[in-house]
Amino acid sequence: MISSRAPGKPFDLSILLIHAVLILGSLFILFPFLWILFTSLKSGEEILRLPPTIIPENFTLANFVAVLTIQQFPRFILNSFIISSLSMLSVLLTSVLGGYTFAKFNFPLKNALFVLILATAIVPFEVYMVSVYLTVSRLKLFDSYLGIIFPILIMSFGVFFIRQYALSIPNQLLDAARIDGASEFWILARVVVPLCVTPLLALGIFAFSEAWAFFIWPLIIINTKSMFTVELGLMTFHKKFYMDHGPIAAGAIISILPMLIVFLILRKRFIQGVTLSGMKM
Amino acid sequence: MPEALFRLRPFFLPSEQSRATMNKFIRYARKNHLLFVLCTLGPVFALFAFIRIIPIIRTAYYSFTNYSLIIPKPVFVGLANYAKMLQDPSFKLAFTNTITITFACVIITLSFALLFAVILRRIEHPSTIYEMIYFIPVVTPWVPATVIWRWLYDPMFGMINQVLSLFRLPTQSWLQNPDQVIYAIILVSIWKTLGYYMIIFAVGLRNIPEIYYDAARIDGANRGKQFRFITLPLLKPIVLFGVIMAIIQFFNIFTVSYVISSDAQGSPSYECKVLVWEIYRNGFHYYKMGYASAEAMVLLAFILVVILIQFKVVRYDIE
Repeated sequence: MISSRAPGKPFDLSILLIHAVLILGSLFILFPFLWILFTSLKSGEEILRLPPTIIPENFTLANFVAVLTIQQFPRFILNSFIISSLSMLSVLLTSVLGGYTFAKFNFPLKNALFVLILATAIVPFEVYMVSVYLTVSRLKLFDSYLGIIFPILIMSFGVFFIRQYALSIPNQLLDAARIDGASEFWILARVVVPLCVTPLLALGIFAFSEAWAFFIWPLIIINTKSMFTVELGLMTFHKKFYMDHGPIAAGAIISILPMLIVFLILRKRFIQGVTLSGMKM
Repeated sequence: MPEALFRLRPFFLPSEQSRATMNKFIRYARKNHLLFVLCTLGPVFALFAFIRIIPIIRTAYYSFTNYSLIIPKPVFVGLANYAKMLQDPSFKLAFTNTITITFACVIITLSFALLFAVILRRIEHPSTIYEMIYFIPVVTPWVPATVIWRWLYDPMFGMINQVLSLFRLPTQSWLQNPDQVIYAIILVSIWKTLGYYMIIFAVGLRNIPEIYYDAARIDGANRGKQFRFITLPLLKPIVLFGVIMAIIQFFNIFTVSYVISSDAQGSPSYECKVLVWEIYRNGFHYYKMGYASAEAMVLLAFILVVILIQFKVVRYDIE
């Protein structure tokens, strides 16, 4: 009897069960987001009502207006964008330069240098942040963009990742360009970079999101409010006005939104970038 | 005599022999584009040295000194910082808490991640929607994630207690109970990282050729046996990798603990000390850089041990 069943058909009930489990899991994942979203759209009075309402009775954008006008949130968002973009550009540039050179050239100490760069990847930033802090303090970079992005100017994983891709570029292609009289930098800019667009995009998204979520370093190094990142602003705001939950909820949503939008648009690249970073070690 | 004089050359002019070596080097450099290598890798490596390598070495050195911003000249104190750590109750508490969080999070997160990854493979088309949903917390930074959960934990208005009382279960004080803060942190961490490990395992599962399962089915192996004898062994390297990643990630835990236990108006909550927080506190509140460095070295040592174990296990597997 069993063998007479059509393939794909026999597990209908278990498929249903699987969906049930997955939907239950999805609820666990999504509920906090929905809750914060609805909270941000409620009036201050409704937030503190007991028993709490789930869906707001009157939708209001007052909390968003409050957080964007009273607090310096727009400034924080701008700061976060500047910091994340600068870090991303620097990581992309250094990764291409390092990754391509490691992949396609021979030079003394090549393997030792590569291993050294890779080895730093297993050391978490928290281990040497004290030392980086002293460097930055000697360079007098407190409360500056350069000071904030200082530890994330480079990414060992980025060098490794681009090297893996660059290894697959055929040497004949590079030699053909060389015979045509192209300079090495021209080859890098016009041949190698266009071939590496896919990994660069994944790496760029990853670097941007890492910088956006970077917390402990800005916490240490920023003292002026006008230099706060969104994360830092949200944390301080949350600490100071815990009971003022409407605007905090709005602030949390604002700080999630950019990442969420990028994620929803470039879902595949994003997952690729983040899971590939698993090779970070 | 004049001949001998001619043979004496000024020190700045290269000899015949050294000129030959130099030419050889120039030819070698040209052939291998050493100038290009120097231009590209030079700055990159300099950055790595300046931002990563030197600070790591310096932290190791500081851990043997009493360096602080108050004492300008660091004095070598040997293992004094490490000895002090053994006597420091707040370090001990932080260490125990970190181990507890790591242990609980690794086991729970990875079990659920594996379960979801395995059942995701069973359904074909809609699995991308689930993957997307489960991945949303992963792209959410830790600070907003913790802020969201903090409100859910609120004893009065928090949804968790509301649900508990709906089912007539005793409500909990959560963050205001020093014993429960750690559970709150563990729950947030699981929620935040589940999707990441699920995707890693899902990718690993996708790489197992379908043909193995076909063969097993022909031999009459049921689902359980297929999981036991095909999925698990073939997935073992990636599970091991996930375990290592997770141990390192959770051992570095800081933001959740910091934000969830931040002192706030009208809501006294107890802090859950973790290792990175101790480093942060000693380094940047008390400016005891030497002591903070020693604690950082403990963090590094732990991670190195974990990675070493991984290598051992992998080698054992190959043998």
